[in-house]
Amino acid sequence: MVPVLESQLRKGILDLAVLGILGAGESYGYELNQALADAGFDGLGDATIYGTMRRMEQAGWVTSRLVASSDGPARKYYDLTPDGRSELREGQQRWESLVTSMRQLLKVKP
Amino acid sequence: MSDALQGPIVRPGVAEYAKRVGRYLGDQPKAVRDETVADLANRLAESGEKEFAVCIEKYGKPRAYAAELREGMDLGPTPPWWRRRGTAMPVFIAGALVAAVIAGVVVDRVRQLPDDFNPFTSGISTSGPPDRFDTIGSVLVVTPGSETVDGYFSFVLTNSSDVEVEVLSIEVPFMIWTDDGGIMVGGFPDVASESIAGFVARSDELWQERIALDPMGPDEFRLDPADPTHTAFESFSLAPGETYGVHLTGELASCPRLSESLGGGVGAIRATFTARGRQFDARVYDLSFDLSDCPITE
Repeated sequence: MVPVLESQLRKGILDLAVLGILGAGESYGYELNQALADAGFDGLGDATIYGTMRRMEQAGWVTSRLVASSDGPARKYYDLTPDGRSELREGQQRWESLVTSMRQLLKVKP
Repeated sequence: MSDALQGPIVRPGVAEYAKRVGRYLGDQPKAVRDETVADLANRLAESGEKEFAVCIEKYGKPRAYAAELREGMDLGPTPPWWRRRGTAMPVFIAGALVAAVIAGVVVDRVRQLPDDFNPFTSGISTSGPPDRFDTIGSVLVVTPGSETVDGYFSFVLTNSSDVEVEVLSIEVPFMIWTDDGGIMVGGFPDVASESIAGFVARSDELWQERIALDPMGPDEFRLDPADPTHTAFESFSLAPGETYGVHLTGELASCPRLSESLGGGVGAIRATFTARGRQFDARVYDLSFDLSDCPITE
């Protein structure tokens, strides 16, 4: 079972994780879920991920389109918009800053 | 001929699941809600889902899924039913009123039952209310799905005990039975539309059972009067044209014309429960209320 702290941490950075995955190229629902699970986000439910995608789409960070699939009906692929890419860049900077700060904090012995 | 790409085929069970999730987005603009429901149905279908029961198994109950979805969408917690849209309000309210009447009658009858069958006096203890209900009230009438089924009514209301109640009234055989644990439940099996409604006096298990049966095919929930676990224990009737009290509460109470049309809170509602041995027919019909000044009417 994923510890609560880890679970909350992952939830808090879900947006950035999704942006990061899509920053590497467009992806569809199941593939996104898998990529997140492989990265340790397997404790998150489909609804949370889907809700995040819906919100990002409504915010204009993500766009979607149907793409033909060789093994079935067309799939809905998500991709970053220019605003999404901008958000990703800013998120990367915030993340780096946060990691640096946390590293400093965690050096302190109790 | 269009060469537009076709999305996955959404089967009825999956569409129903998405629709039920959409009910908990009722505080959102209709366009957002409709788009989300349609998109969710496609997403589930794209993931290979075909059956409602499988969706329940994999994703949880629609309410639970919706709660997570809302969190992901930053929409805040699920609003109470009266803050949700998407229900035909006149039908909703009219049905709610009838349900209140029926519920009241049923409760009165239940209270008069022998102790062995009476959930109010038999000492049956349960661990809590059914899912989706904050408290167990007098009667909960539950329905698995549609807001309207074959022209009849299903709806949600808050009765005079401030208990959320879902109701489906249908013109089908009606039975009351107890389960093995002695917890009383009741139901309106609706074979034709493959749905069921019932009322719960005290149970935190019925909901699970109902979900497990849902969507209920005709063979899965047909009640057998000979089955000892399906014990009909009471009969009662509402005479057509007879006057029954209707206690308007909450936002319903702020509809003056509705109150007037009901005679200041008491209205003539034609409904019948015809006893037929251990089986009943339930009919609710000819509903006409003045809802024109009701602020919650859409």
